[in-house]
Amino acid sequence: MILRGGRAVLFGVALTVLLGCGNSGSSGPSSPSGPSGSNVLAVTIDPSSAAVCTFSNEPCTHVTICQPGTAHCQTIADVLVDTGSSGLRIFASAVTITLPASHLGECMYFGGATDWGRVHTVDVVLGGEPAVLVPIQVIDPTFAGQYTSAGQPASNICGVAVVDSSPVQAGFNGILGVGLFPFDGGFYYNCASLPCTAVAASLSQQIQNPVGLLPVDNNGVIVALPSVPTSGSPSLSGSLILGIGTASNNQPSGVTVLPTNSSGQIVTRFHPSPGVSTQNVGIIDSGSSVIFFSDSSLSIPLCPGNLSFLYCPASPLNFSAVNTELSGSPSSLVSFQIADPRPLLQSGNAAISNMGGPAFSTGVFDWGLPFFFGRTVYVGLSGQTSVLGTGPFWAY
Amino acid sequence: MKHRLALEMAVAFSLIVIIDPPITWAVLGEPVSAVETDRVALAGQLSMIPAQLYTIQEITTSELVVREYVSSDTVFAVAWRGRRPPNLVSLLGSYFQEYQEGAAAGASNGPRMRGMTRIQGARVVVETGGHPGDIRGRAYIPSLLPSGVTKEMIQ
Repeated sequence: MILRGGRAVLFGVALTVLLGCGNSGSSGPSSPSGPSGSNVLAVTIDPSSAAVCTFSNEPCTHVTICQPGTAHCQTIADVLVDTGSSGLRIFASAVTITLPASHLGECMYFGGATDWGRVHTVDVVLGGEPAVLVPIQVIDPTFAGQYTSAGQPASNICGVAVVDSSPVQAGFNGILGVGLFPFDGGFYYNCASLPCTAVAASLSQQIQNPVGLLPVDNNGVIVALPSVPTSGSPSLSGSLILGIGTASNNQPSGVTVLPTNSSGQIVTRFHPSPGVSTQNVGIIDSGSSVIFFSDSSLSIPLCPGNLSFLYCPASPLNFSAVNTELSGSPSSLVSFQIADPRPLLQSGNAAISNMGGPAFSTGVFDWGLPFFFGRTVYVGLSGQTSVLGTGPFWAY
Repeated sequence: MKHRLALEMAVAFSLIVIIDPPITWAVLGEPVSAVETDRVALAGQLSMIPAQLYTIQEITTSELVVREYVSSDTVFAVAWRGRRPPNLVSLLGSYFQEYQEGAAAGASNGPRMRGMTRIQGARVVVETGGHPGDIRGRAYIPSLLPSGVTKEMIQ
């Protein structure tokens, strides 16, 4: 709560509380000027100054990659901060340094998108941390002739209708996956000769979450974003902080810790109306632009046209849901609002707190970026221990 | 030696299964007999789940589960869930091209956001969602949905 008020003043945003934190506390690292230090990466939503990170509710940062063991480095801007995946991915077209040769391809499946490209091992520098040597995906639809430059199927090794094709189309130069797991769970292929063949890549070949390789701040991350009023905000500034309880700027206090299952899921009980409750698997995903949820008892109209994956209620709807550990305790009540997003989108707002859409698979509750507004969210890396316990867990 | 040969044969066989992409099967909109083709292509286990308004043919592999919804001897919908999606070129058959054209249009003209996707073509609706490690999706032919069946039942 301290953070929410402080940030709100700092960024000139009204103190409207959109996503109530219910019975859980929501305090964390904060200072009048925001956290600073070698373990802090600035996170922004600012389409007016970004080249390609221009989507609504798209939080981006900078990451530096280098030829291994050298000072031949390149800082990549417009990299999506994604708590829903693990590992760094950069479009080949955004890379100007020469990378080591590689014949290892990868299909990486996201909920609504797929990335195909080559795996390269590079030095990655996050904030002011020491470089870590780690395999990353260099997204390239045309690698090994699998897709056209527009992402359309050619040989189509991933078996999908379209893959991310360019920074402009995808809306990012790369994705920094700082999720719950050390490895990315992608599918690997040997493309030394065509056709590419599926391989069981060794762990050391697989794309890894660079956070877990840091010398000290390696047990998880914190995403801290300011609150956003129901009227939206044209831009937003926050922080990605590396480590939990490893430095003076990442000491948690008063948070609810929710351990997840091996798929990174908690239980989310949704209350669409009084006396009605549905149980869902819950995920917390900064890479999802809105809150995705479904309930067959709801009949919220979908937006028309190419916004048909969003809810367009006639007037704003207020809901609540309870997040719990799989065992049922602890729990945390979360309030949120869903409104017609069209007026805010049309008036140039880039951060929108009350936007939602249907989770097409009934039973999944995806706490997208609106959940992060006004919260400090802790991502506990699987197998790593912090003052909040051993990951995988979410805490806020 | 015999055991080693058996092991090598087993390895070779598993490699054949892995590297041979299932490209010749198709099911959505086809007769229920196509389901067995899918089961063989996916090298999965088939089970049948009776329901009031339809029958579900469920194919389970180590990576994913595909459910094929059957009524009047026709597969009117498919749903999937797993570490990866099934090969949609194969699963959607003659409907894949319509899906692919819709997805291409969405990628170039669609709303500038990231998350779940919904492609509504002239004959088929394809919805994808989930997250890395738990990828989900469904496709259905609205004109073939039996009376009383809603898309929420397809999952």
